[in-house]
Amino acid sequence: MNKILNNTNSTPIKLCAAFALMLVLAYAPAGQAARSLTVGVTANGSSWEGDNGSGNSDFESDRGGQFAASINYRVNKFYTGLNLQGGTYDFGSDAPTQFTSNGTLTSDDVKVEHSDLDLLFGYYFWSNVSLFLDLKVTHSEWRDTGYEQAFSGLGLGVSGFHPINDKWVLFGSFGFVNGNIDDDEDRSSHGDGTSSALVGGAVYLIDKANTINFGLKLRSYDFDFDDGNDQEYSLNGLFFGYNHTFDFN
Amino acid sequence: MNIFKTLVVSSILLAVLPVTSALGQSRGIALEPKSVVQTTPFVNGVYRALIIGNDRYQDPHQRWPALETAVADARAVSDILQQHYGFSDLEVLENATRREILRALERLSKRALPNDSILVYYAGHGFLDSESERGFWVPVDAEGVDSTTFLRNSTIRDELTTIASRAQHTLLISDSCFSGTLLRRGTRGIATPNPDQDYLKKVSKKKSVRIISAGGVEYVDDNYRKSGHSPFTYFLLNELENNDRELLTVSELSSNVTRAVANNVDQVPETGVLQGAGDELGEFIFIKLKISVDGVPAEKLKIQVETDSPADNVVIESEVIDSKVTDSKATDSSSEPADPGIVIPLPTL
Repeated sequence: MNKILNNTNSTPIKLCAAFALMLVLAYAPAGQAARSLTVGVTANGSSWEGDNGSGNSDFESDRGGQFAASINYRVNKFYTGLNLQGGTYDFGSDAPTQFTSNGTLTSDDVKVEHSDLDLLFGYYFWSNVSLFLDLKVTHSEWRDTGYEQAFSGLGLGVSGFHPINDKWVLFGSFGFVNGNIDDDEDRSSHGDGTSSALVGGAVYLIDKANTINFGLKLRSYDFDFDDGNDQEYSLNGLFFGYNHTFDFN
Repeated sequence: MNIFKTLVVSSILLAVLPVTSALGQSRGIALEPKSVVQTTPFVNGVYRALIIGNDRYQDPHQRWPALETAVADARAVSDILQQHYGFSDLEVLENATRREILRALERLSKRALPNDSILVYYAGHGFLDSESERGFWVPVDAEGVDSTTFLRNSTIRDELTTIASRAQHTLLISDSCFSGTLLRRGTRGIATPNPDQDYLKKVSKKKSVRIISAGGVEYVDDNYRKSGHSPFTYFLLNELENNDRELLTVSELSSNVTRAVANNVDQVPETGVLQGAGDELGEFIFIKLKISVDGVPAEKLKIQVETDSPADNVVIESEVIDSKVTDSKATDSSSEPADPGIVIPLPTL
């Protein structure tokens, strides 16, 4: 996550600027509209497992997880949000292969830092269902060699919720991202890839402003590198989060 | 009653209302109509109303069972006031807690202006402490017979007195058991049959603070003949809906409703003046609007009513001023659950 935050020339900074602009634009015409700002934190205990492609071994992290912080601003049916999350995954005998510009390097007994940045723009086209765009950037760094891999793209998703009663709400989302793979050396295109995510969970409303949420998040990535190699992996796990909402009505 | 000879819809305000909350349907708040200042020889202010309906009681002691019709009563009263009687500032509380009711009364008193006509309607459980003979409204968060969780009549009267100190006409309609206790310190009102224009102009200029209760110190029924309304509100709605007069005084309304209720159920509504609140024997006057435009809600209509009566030369003008309709679920109770749409996690991919 530090890489994402510290790289002043990176796409994420531009995305943050876009997010700030969206906040301003969202606020300006609002008038007496319903506005709220929600901040949240989430712990995600997940495993990173996958397939390094033909001729290479499968891999699975021994342990790992991510922490996330998010901010979500909503004006009537429109919402925009920013989510930053990151964490470290420990691999033993097998780890994701490093597809560098100089060749393929298998690795083992390595820690890989993985971070995500999501900038969302969503709209509730129906009362309980919204469609959203997700400008997504993921970044991975192998600690043994310093190899870095970034994937960025634009995703489209659908999100919905269903209140059970005054205290419990079920929610879920699903979507795809189509993007490019870069290495951090020259930022040149290193391939392309897709990712998808499926989330399901529940929210418990402590009171009007405070909620906790938990559920299952399944993410999968499918990368095709320019040199013909491919790699598939998934990050699946349970999450637990807390949100606080400032209601400006 | 031929005062008004022409009624002209001068324009329709299709003001761009802020987009309502996408998820507000289930959690309230959606409407933000505009208040309309009515200018007539009888009224020169805004018609405002606070409508409260309590069905879903949450009493852990099971002392207060759920009602069948209170929320439906409140909604129906709100609709008829808005659509037929030009009430442009309505706040509807459904299943309101004690705190929400008090806060809504405070908000109403702050919005009240000197020429306004203000109506407060309550449908829900009532309670009478037989020892002290004190009456109460029972909010949905009431606990057993713990009267500290109720809304005491004296508190309601205090709030009404505050509102009445600002507004021209104040009317409380209480459809609950023992609501007649609100009148123990008041006096009965007597309707003037077929009031003429001079009388109406006269009483409209005088301050009024009136109460209509569904019954005296007695139990009242909930669902009248499966109509979906209590007997009192059923006949109140019936009277307001079928009234063919342009000007209807509270005395006439209460008299007609009382007769209808008493003739059909074992319950006698009462009407009185709130003592000590500045009543000058004035009259709250309902003005029935006879305008409609297909597809356009009444609250969005800007109306101008003209008459060629030489004596009155009446022009009813409308002016849009700021106002807001809210719902208890959308207001300020920190204990109420939030709109789930704003609390589900950000759906990242």
